[in-house]
Amino acid sequence: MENPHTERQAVLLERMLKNLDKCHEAIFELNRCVDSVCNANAEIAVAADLAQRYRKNVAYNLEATGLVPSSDIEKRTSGDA
Amino acid sequence: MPLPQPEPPKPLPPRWEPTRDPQDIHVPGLDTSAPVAEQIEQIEQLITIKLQNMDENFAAIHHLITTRLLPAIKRYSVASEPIREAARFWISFFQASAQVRMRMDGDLSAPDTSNDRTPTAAGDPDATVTTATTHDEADDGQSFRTAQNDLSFQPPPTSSTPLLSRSQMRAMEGPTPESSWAASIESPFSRLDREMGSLRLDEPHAAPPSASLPRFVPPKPRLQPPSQTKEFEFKDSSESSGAAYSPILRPPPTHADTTNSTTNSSTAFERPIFFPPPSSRKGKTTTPLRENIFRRNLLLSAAAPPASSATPRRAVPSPKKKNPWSAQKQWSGIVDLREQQPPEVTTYDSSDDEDALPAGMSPPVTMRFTRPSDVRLGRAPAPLAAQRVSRGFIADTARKSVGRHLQPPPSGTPGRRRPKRDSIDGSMFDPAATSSSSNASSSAAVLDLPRTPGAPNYYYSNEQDDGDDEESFWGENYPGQDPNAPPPQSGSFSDDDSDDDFAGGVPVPGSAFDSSYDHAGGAGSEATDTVFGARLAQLQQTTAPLRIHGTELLAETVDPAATDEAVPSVEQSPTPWAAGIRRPEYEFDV
Repeated sequence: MENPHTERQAVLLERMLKNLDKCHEAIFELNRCVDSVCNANAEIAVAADLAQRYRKNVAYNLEATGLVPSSDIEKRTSGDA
Repeated sequence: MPLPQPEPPKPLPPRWEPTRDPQDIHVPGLDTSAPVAEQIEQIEQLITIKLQNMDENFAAIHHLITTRLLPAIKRYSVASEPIREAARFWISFFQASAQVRMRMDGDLSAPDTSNDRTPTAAGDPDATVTTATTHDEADDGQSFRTAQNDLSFQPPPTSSTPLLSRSQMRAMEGPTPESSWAASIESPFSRLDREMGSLRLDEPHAAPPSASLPRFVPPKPRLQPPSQTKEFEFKDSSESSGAAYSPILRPPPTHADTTNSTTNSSTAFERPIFFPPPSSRKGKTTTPLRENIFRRNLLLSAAAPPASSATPRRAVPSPKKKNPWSAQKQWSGIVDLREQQPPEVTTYDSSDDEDALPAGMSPPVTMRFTRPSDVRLGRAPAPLAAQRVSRGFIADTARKSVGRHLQPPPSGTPGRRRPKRDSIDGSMFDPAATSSSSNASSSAAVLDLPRTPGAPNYYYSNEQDDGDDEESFWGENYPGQDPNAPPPQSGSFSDDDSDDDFAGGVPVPGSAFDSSYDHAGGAGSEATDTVFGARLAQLQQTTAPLRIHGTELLAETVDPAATDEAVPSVEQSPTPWAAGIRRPEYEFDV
């Protein structure tokens, strides 16, 4: 009585194993891609942060040296934030 | 703009908790009233169904990942590539401007040698603000800058540091060239070298992966000319810390140096230009990374501005010791780039293939030999050409003003034999001319061509030139003459070859005149019909001679001095079109 069920279930398990293997590989590939994407985004975030800091420095410099009125600096920097 | 949220997944059924009492087990969907055997059967079936669902879910997972997720991510990465490039550039830009090295999550960076980004303003408040700013940056940028000494990987170009400490050596081994952060801050040169090195990984002398990073030993101070150090300042700051290299260009050492059996790094940096294959060295091992570095150094030295070497290229051939491809295995490991040879173009051995093009020859273009304009290749003398052009212009104007029945001005001797070149111009046959009975009149007959709207009226000149090359073949047929004057008798029209017979002027293919072909239809089918359907009687009545129009285009190229034998006649032309047009009974196959 149990044999047909057992056979059927064994077949299903075999198929499941194969599907899982393929899923594994696909997920590994997915992880790799996502990892690269994250790293790229991190680079972009670094660049953005650098640019922001640079701009703050420039604003301060201009304001400190008096080339640009402080009001303009504040207006511009406040717009950025 | 928030992305559209997908619908939440269905809640999972509660997890089955094992119980000691089998009576507490509740299987949904089970008919508890059925006998046990049936219940067992039902349970088995439920198990099978559950397994099927699981298998289906896993298959769906795999399908979704491969068909939706991965392509989307790859599309995203491809699309964001320019952004990454820009970010990389700006990072290197900021690094270079501040002469600092960026550290990202364990990266090794050079000490902040000179920070001149924010000039300190006068006054303490400003100074404090400045310092606060820098400190703020320094504090926030722990992920950006490191302490000065401990993790200093690249010695400042202006200093001459001794061997690195053990901590530095240990820290160097952490990152691998494959890490993405290394790629993020490396210069294009180092990236190029890395890519080139990947092509060399299969070489026998490639280092095992365990020794991916070479041991870095900074160059010896005694061999550092200051000019060269400054030259590589920028390059140093933009280098990836993962790439160990010698920023100093040294003069190529002698071969004896290669036999130095000291540590790899020390000797490596005493020979910074290029690392030879191991066959030419003794007891030296190198890593692909080091080779990449040296190769990059080579490139940098080759591409460096001539601050250090303003000498012109020498004409001295490189010695064998510097020729990597020399038969003798004496290559000292240094490639002399002073004599840069252009890449040899592989000459195509045309002898192998008959169809091969000779060197430097572009693929031939299949020319469409149109008839009959390109039959003659000669070039008429300028005065003759000018004369012809002028005559043609006059004829045109006269024709337009006078009408169709025009006579060419008498010039030269009447009855000149028409040169054979007339036939080459592609004029159509004049079936009327072939009739011997009407030779005398047909010579003067003008083919009264049915005028098609917009089609130019072409005349055929039956005048025959007897070889007087001074006159154009249609020189006597200008319509500017007295239209009522009898045309000069050719007389020997029939003596001409059949190819001289024309029924009409066909200047060049593709001209507007071609449209009249269709009007003519099956010309020449009847002896009394001309090409354009004009009756022979009408032809005989008309007196305006035929003249070929459009031949002024040919005038400059037609060489009246050229003999007919030199120029292939129309009937000798191999083209079927040409062969067809020579037939007196011309039939158009449109």
